[in-house]
Amino acid sequence: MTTPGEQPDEGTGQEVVLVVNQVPSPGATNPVSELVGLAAGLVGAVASVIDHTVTAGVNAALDRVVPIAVNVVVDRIDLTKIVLERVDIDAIVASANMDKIIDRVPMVDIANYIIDEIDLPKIIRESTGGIATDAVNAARMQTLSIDEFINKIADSVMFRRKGRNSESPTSSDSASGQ
Amino acid sequence: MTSFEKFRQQLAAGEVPNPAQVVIPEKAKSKQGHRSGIVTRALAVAIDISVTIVVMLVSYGLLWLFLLLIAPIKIFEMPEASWFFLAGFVLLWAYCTASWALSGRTLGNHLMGIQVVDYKGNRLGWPLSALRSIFSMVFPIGLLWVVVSPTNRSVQDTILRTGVVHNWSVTLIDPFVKE
Repeated sequence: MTTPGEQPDEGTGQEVVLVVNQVPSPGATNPVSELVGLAAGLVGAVASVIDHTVTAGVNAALDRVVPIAVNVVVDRIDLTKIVLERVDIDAIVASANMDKIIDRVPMVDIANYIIDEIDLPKIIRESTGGIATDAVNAARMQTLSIDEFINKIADSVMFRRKGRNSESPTSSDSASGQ
Repeated sequence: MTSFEKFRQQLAAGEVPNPAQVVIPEKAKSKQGHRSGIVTRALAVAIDISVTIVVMLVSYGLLWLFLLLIAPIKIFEMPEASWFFLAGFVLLWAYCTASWALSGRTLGNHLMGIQVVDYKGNRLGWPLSALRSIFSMVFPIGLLWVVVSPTNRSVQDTILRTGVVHNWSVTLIDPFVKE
């Protein structure tokens, strides 16, 4: 922005193009300056060749030396420990794009594997019993209490003081030899 | 984290609650594996008989419809009671035999949460199952011995060394699976 009365800054659209034409003047050649120019050109070419050679040589040397040197250094330090001590792995994990990772994980296969392994359909069948379990359990509880009531009366009529032993062996008992 | 292998081992060892057992009421858990009483068993029998009668009526209806296709002018009539009774008897016998030999439960047993087992607690074999069901049907009054018996056994159970136990869930580890 320019305030009124001020000179406009450079770069506000006004460009000054300066064209200088060097007019060669024949007969004004200076042998010394030509020689100097030639020498400069020669030095430049030599420098360029040296530069390329040296750069290539140094690069080749570094290619060989650096891996060895790094290996030697890494061999002497416990990189895992350093990473564990100094790197905030949680931050790295937090910044990771989980969606992309999950996209690569076969989630459906894993889910199917889990369902197969724990036999989920069987658990559901057993938990629900195919029928409203709560209602059935309530009915069973009712008959169980009536059973106990009748047993108690029968036991007292027969002067059975200890009550009755309704325990039955299960196959797990017989399998373990009890 | 529990691996599946570990979970199965813990389940077999009884260290983790069986998911199927979780739904059983606390009060009834102590009764699992005990021989059931008279009311439970009588209700199971009543359910089984009802199922048999329904199956018989439906079968007869279907049979009559089928006959209608062959001989269209046939007046519907119920069969003689004795035939009906005999067919029901055979059906119930086959049904109980197969149920006890295959799973230890008829539908009535399943609803009441009881299971027929032999003296070791295993599932009945086919001959024993057939014998027990025919015995129960020709001498149904033997069930009443459950009230008198000190171990909740009917006459059939006492003679054939069988038992009817509470098992309200079909467990993950089937007691009938012999290793």
